[in-house]
Amino acid sequence: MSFHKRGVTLVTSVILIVFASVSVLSTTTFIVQRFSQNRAKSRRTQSLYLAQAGAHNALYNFRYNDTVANGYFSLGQTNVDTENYFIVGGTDADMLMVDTSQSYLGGALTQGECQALGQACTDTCNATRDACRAQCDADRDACRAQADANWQACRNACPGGPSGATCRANCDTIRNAERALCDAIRTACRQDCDTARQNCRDDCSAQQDACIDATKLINVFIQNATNSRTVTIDRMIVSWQNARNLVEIVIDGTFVWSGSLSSPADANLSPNFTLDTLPTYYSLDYLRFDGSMAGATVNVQFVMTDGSTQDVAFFPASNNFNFTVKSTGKTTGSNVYRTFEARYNALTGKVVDYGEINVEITP
Amino acid sequence: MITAKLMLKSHPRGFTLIELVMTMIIVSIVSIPLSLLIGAHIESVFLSERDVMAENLACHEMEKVNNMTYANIATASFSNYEGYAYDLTRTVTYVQGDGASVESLKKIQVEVKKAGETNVITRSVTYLAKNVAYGI
Repeated sequence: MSFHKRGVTLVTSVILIVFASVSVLSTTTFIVQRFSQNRAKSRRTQSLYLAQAGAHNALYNFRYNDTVANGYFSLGQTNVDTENYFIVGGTDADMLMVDTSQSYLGGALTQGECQALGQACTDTCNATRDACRAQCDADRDACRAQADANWQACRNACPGGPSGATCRANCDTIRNAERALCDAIRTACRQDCDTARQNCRDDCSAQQDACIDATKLINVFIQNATNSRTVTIDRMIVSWQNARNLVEIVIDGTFVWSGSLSSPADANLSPNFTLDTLPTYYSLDYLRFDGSMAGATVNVQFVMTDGSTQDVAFFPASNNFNFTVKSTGKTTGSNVYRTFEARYNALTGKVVDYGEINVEITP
Repeated sequence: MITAKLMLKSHPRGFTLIELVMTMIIVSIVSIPLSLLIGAHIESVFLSERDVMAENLACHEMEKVNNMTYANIATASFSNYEGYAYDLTRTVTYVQGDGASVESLKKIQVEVKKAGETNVITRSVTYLAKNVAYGI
C-alpha cells in the first residue's frame, strides 16, 4: 500500500478500457471483413454460373444458326436480369474455325479428275476383256462346228449296216476329243483375257497414282465463328517431317504466299487473309510443296493479326472444326468476375474442352 | 501501529472511493456500445453461417442441374432441401425456343431461403443449351 499513488485505479481502468476498445475494434474489423469475404465468395460463385450462361448462350446461337446456314454467334454483353450479365468474347484465333475433315493430297489435276481418268482406264480394260472373252467363245463355237463337220464326214465314210458300227464309234470318239479340245482352248483363252485385264488395271492404278502426285494439300476450309467482327490471318507456320519445301499457299483463289521454305515454314501472308462476318465458308485451296508429301504429317499454326495463335493438324484428315468461346460473368456494381471458356467441335457437336481462365472479357 | 499511521498519512481519505465511482461511471458509459457490439458480433456469426450454408446449397443444386438431362430440367421447389432447414426454389424458363424446338436455351434460377421465411438469402442464375454434349 505504500506504493499506492493517486489515480492508479482510474488510470488502470482507462488503460483497460483502451485495451477493450482496441479488442472490440479489431473484432469489428474482422467481422466486417468476414462479411465482405462471404459476399465476395457468393458473388464469385454466382459469376461463374453467369459465365457458364454466356458460353451456353453462344453455343445455342451457333447451333441454331447452323440449322439455317453457317453457324455463328455474337460477341458482347447480354443482361440475364437487372443485376446479372455476361460478356462473350475471345481472340481472333479463338474465332478461326478450320475444317480438315476432308483434307487430302492431290497434284496438277484434282483428286476427282485423277480418279475419273483412272475409272475410264479401268472401264476400257473391262471392255477389252469382255471383247476378248467373246472372241474366245466365238473361236470355241467355230472349233466345235469344225469338229461336228469332221464327225459328219467321218460317219459318211463309214460303211453302212452293222459292219460300220466300229467305224462310227471311232468317229464319235474323235468328235468328242475334238470338242473337249475346243473347250480347253476356250478356257485358256478366257484366262489369258483375265490376265490381260488385270495387267491393264494395274497400269491404270499406276497412272492414277502418277496423276495424283501428292504435291498439294487440298480440300481444307476455314470460317469465322462470329458475326461480330472480322478475323485476319497474318502468318501460317507450316511444319512437316520430310525434306520437301513449301512453295505456295492459295486461299479462296488468291495466292497469299509463294517461296521455298523447309519445315517449319513461316509463311507471312501477303496480302493477309480476312474472314468476313457473314460468316463465309472459305476454301483454303491448297498448300503446294516441291515434291510428294505422301506419308507426311502436316501441322499448321495460324498467327492472327491480334497476335493470337491456333495450332491445327492439317493432314492426315481429322475432325477439326473447332472454335473457342470465352465468357465473363459479373454482377452490376461489383468488380468480382469469373471467366469460363469452352472449345466446341462443330463436326461432332461436342464441347471438347472447357474450364475457368483468369482473364476478364470486356465488351 | 506505526505502519498503519504511515499508510493513513500517504493516502488522503476518500480518494479511492472517488476513483472507484469515476471508474464505474466510465466503465458503464463504455460498456453500453461494447455490449451492443458484442451482440452484433454474435448475430453476425449466425448470419454468416446462414449465408454460407445457403450459398453452398445453391451451388449444390446448380451442380445437380448441370448433370441433369436437358429435358428433365424443370421448375421445382424443395422444402428443407437436402435435410437442412432451408427452402430452395428452382425456376426454369425458355430464353430461346421451346420444348418442341430442335435447338433451345433454358434459364435456370435457384433461390434459397431460410425454411418458412420469405427473404431470399442467395440467388444464382445460369443458362443451359440443348444438345450440348461434352467429350471428344
